[in-house]
Amino acid sequence: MAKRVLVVDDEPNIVMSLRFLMEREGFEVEVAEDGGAAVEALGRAPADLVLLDVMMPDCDGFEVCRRIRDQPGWQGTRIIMLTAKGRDVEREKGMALGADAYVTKPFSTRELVARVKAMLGGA
Amino acid sequence: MAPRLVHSGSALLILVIAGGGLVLAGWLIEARAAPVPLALALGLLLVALGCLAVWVLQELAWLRPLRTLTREIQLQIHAGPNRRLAACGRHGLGDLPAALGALAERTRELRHEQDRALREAGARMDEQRVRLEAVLQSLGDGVIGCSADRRILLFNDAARRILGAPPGLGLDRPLDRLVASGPVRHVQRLLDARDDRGEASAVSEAFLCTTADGERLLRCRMAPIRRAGGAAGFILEFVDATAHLRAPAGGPGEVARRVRALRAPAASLIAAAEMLGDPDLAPAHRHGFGGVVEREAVLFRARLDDLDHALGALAEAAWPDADLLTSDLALQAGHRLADAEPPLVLEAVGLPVWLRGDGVHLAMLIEGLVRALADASGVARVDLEAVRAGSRVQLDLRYAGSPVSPAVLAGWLERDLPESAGLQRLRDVLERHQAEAWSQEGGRPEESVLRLLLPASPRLAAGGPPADLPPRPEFYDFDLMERATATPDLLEQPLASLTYVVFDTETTGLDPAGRDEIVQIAAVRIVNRRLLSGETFDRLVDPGRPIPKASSRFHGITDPMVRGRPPIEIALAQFHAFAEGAVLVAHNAAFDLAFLRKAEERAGVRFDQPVLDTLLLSAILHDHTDEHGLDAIAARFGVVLADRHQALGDALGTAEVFLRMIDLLAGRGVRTLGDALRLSERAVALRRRQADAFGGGARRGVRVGG
Repeated sequence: MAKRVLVVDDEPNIVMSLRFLMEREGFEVEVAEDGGAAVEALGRAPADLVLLDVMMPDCDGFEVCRRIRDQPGWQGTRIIMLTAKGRDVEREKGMALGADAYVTKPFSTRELVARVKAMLGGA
Repeated sequence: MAPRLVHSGSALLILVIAGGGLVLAGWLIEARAAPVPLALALGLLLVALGCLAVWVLQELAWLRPLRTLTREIQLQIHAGPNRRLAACGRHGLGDLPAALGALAERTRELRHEQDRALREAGARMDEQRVRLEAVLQSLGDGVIGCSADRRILLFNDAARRILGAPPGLGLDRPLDRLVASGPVRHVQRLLDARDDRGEASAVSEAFLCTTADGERLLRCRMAPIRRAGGAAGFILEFVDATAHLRAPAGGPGEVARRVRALRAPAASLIAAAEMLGDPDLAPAHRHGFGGVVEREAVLFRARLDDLDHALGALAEAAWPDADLLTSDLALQAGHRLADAEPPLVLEAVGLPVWLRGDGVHLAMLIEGLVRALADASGVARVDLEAVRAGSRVQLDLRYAGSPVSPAVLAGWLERDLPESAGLQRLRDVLERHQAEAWSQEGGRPEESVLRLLLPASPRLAAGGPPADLPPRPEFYDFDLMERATATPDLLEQPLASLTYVVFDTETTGLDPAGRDEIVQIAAVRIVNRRLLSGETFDRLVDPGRPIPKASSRFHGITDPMVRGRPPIEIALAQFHAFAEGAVLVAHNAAFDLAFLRKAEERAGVRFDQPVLDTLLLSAILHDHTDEHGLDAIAARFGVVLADRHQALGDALGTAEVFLRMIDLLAGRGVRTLGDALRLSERAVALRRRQADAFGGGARRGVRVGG
């Protein structure tokens, strides 16, 4: 069965690229436009990996990350945070709140795909 | 000697005798008495005339000249310096008037010299004052001198100009009317605290504040004016930073240039992307534009990083940063929180860490966060704990309760700072320090932390003093254990619930029995297993003898540093008060205690509380090794020692080690103070036997590694 990837971002342009990239690699993709929707989506069906944008209105990526890690059933979900802030402190904050990796925008799509595949052990 | 005998009383007596003789002689002649009485009368008459002659002689030769002299001397005392002693005519006083005249002449000369010296000194001072005023007035920076209670003692034209010529600027007027008093008081306290610790580096401190009306932003530097016994006031030097700091991102050309440089790859990227969107694009072109996008993307990323760095450097340059101790931050924020209604307790626990930043704003950020925590969850006490993590300091506000969600925290960060010192919101302080904040589980049940990631100070990177001095000899002393007057009740107390004072001393050398003395004594308190690094004791002590160079190199304390500091009698009495009711803890305690005991009598105190020694406890807990030096033990427990070989640093390190030992001891069934003391006694006996076996035989003097 194909691994499930949840893309959480409020910018449609980047979502389009991410969806295209992930589907090309054979993953099943679902999209959430904000943090609240992401948590709801995970409640309906758990994902193997979440591509999580940090800067979102209302419920930001850090909050989603913390909620995921608070749920005992979701511990296996891998989280890659995507952000336009490139400083070390944000990386450390993301990792402290339970992210598995932290990728700064703009990122190389090839590298992102490689990381996702490494985490999910291929499609 | 004659004038001393001739008193006015004796002169009167002579007159009475002479007068009486004359009257009696007259009466006898009148009575025409017999020849014998006549002879008697004549004799009496002669005696009376003799007396009269003596009196006249005394009067002319001695008494009158003496009166003249006395009058002259009295005149001389009160007259101007040019008056000379007048001659007293004929006299029988020998060389006395001449000698007095010479004395008066010499006095006159001295007064002339003194007046001249005073005039010259006055002229020099005037000249210096004029020069100082000229320098002060020519400065572009504002300068205000203040007394400790912030009354203005001096100021220059620039100060008047920068502050906008306020009517409240005048001598002996309060500074608080002109400049926001919160930041100024904060820095005053900070400098005082550093002075109390005897830190030589506490020369001045940079900070930001606003004018009292909030109109202008000032970048300030405060330098304390010191005198024996504390700060007498301070000099505040400041420039107007309003335009510089309030302009968005500083705005200088450097940033603008880099933004422009970023537009080029962005434009190429967008153009190429649009071409790629054309469905009729030929495969060769598609490949070409794909290459453009890839190359431009690399360039774009590099230039973006460039801009980020430029912005960081700009922020760094524009704002005053200083090295700060986390315990000082806790103290500053704690002061203000204690005044909250209801009062909030913020306490520094664990080892303090040096960070780099703007102390006034960071203290306000911490204050704001603690207040928000209290508002949201009713938390009334928060511990501030810090550890260094690479180039950052992880500063935790630890409280009872569950983590704050990022969304709630984001709301708190939008709140205004408690007082204006240039920045507006809590978030601005974070951004200004390129810092992040979040909340997570605290690693202990029912506890969470609000964690701030702040820039560390490069200061810690500077290595400790060269360790080329032999380590302290290990001391054994049975009296140490026997002397304690622990009640059975105290002995039954669990180790985890006791109050401890962990201390360390620095000395002139290694021989307490000889001439060596304490030069520094520092201590920290542990209450309920919490190391209260805000409650420290730290005193430099004048040892009353020179400090050998080798020892100064070891602990960094030199003769000038201890000059004027209290002698051990005073420092020991203060330490005794600090340690009252607590169990004493030290590493190689007998060494330090030997120095304390030596001065007990002079200080009028007696340390009779139980003593625990981390060296002995380590020997029990880690009997697989002989390495029981503080460095070795700290390394085993993963405790990072800062400020090694400074009394407070070592006391804090010992305290951290001791806290970890409490857990380990409990694991071995050593739960009460009595258990620990009995075990220590056994360790002493064992180590003494070992020393004897190795031919030491002495009560003390075996060296330990580390």
